[in-house]
Amino acid sequence: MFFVFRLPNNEERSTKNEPYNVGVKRFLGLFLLVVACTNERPLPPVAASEDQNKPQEGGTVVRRLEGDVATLNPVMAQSEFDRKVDFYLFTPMLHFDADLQAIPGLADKWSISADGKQYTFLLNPAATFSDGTAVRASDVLFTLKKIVDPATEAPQVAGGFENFDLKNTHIVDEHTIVIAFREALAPQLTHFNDLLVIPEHVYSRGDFKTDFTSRPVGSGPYRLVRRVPGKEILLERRPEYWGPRPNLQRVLFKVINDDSTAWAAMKRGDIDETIIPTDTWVAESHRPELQKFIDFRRFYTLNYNYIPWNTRDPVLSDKRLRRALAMCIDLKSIIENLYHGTARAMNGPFTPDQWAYNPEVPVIEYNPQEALRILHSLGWLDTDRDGVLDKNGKPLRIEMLVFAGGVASTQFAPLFQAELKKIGVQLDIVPLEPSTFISRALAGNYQCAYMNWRLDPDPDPFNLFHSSQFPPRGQNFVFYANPEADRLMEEGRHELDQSKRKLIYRQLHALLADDQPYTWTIEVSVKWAINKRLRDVKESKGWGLFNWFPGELGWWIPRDQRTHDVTLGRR
Amino acid sequence: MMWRRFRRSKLALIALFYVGVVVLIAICAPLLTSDPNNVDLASRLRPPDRTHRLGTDDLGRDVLARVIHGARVSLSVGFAATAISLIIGSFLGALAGYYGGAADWFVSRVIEVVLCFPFLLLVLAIVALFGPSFLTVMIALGLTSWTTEARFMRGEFLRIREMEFAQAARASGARDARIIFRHLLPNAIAPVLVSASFGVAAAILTESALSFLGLGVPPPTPTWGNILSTAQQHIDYAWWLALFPGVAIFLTVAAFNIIGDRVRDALDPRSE
Repeated sequence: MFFVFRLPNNEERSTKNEPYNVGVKRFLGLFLLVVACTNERPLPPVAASEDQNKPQEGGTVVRRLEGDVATLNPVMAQSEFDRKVDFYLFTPMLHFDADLQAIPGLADKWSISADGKQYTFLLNPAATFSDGTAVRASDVLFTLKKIVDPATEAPQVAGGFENFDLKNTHIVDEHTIVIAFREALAPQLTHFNDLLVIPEHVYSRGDFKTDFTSRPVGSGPYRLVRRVPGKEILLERRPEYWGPRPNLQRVLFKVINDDSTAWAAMKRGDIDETIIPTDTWVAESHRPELQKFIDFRRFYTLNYNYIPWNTRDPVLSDKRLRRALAMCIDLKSIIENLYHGTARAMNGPFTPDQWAYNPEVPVIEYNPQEALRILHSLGWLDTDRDGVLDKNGKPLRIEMLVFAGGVASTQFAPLFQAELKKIGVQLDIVPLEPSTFISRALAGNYQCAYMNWRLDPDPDPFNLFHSSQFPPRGQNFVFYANPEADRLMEEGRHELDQSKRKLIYRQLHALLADDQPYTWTIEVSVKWAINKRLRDVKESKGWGLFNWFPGELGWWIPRDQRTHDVTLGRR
Repeated sequence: MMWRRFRRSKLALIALFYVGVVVLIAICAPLLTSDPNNVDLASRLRPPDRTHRLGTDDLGRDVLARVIHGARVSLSVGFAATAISLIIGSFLGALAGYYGGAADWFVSRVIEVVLCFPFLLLVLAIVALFGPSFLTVMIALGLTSWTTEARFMRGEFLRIREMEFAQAARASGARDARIIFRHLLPNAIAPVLVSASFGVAAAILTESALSFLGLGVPPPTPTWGNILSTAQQHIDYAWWLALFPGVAIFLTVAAFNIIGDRVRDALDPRSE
């Protein structure tokens, strides 16, 4: 699961922080590009009869990155931006297909032992890294060791391998490895999608954490040409790539933090794809002059918005109070007015697209009168008549952390604040920049917040709600602990039969919804604008346009529409 | 004398009048408009019409009410931050200028260190450290902008401390504090006040920038900067959201700059 945060409005900061040697790098990039271009044979003339529906090779796609990557070392990957670029440079052990089912990646074949603890992988013997060396089983082992090494501090990937059993893991031959785990877990197989293999002979030299942030060597179909921090990342197709060749010759990522800047760039044709905010979608997607060249898409992905309640807080530890506060959110009005019906109300930890979803759990109804009644019954009364409820002389004041400048801070939080004010609860909004926000949340130094999760394909919520997963070990930063929920989560991840798992998770769904460690609010469908020259842009079930196979590797651009190649060459 | 020379510029008079009106509006804001935080989702992003003279924002709040209430924040942050920097700057500048030697060396080095940091970055760091609030923004701006005042004050003190009236005060046995505050400060304050006038303009601008970045005064308090910040997300189809707070910032900052400019000219014995 990834923290999803965007950094709107900080364009100014990122350009100001630009290192002084950008010019040198750009010059170097130009030089490399010229060399690369001269090696390439000229494109054959366009045949009039060319089939416009058959993928054509070559061309450059310009993609938007909503924030700069922190590192291109895949083991250290922190954000979704890192993953977006890593997908081109590295190959995971297993890919997901459009239905998010595991399919061969770096591993050709795999089998699971009867007790579910041992995974045998056969690596693709043709696979090579971008430095020309073959991918060996020892590289897989090296990567795994790095992932679980506490010194690496790779919390995003390490969670999926916490049961890794090094003692029983062994290399069978150059292309075969048996990976063992201490426990048999149902979601284990899906975590191999996070295992992006790196070559031992490169990554074992130097400082692992800092030396490879801009120097990736991977087995993916593309290699890095240049990276200008805060600005752009250019990738080029590896001519000697061992797997199915992708169509596009180059991929240019442009870092554009701000949504309206990105949308303006999209309208100019400077970028080929971008996510767009709901209001832009509502106001612009019906305009015929834009529809001529922009494909507007809308679909649900595995994500939800939620309010985490710090259950260690003396006030918020009472679930009746948390429920009462949840009753003050008018989801219906928010969905209709703010999202024009393009979002849906959440009733618990799973979305309707997940098999673990329990449709019988009710969405908490908007009912401020009932909420006030509950608060009165809990002893919160306005004794000093200042408009704010109080108990034992302490007013009912709650602090809510939000990402500074994010949509949550400008829309949801003020709305919630206004609703709570009506029943005498004071909500103080605290906008913070992302790193402070996350460190305060993980340290438990907060009361509540407004956040968003992007979920893994497997529904296992162990990492979020099990009482053993308090930070820094896991991401249970609401400090939720309920033995019954613990039991269901343990059972759920150990049960390998999906129909039985389903029953367990439905129970868990109802229990978590009742306990309200989070107040789940809405699942917003994502809206994309895609330039129509980009072909075969498909959606997966739950993950959207990319990070599955073939996903973005299947995109192509017709030869007569390659406008960006000209601008690239001129730089 | 100064007022007579100031009066000669029509533009400066208009600017002064404008600032007066804005201050008056800011003081009377609750009487003039409805609640600026009154959310009405059903009428969000409405263009200006009869009920909402300047339209509504993305939560259906009245833009006119928010711009008027925003004046309170902008002006009070502007004045308070300048007051803080004036106090710190004058005090340190006076010390450095009057005593010279080690005190001067020390204050000058502190000024240089503070000046080394990019201004906005330093403000952002302070706000990030203490969490955004009305008070933090004020203090952060005050703590980072006193260097100009301090340098002006130091220069003035260096100039006048050897003048006859200062020597006379010293000869008559006055204590240092009395000489500084009673005799020198009143004679050194004029150029510092000019820089303070520019300081107010700069503080208003910086506060707007901070709010624009989402690190200014936290919501729901309306400020010109955070209305603009919302506007930026809707710039393609809600021009009124960007235009009115933008005009308010522009006019106010311009007014303070014009006043400062004119005061400087009026104080300058060489002009005319």
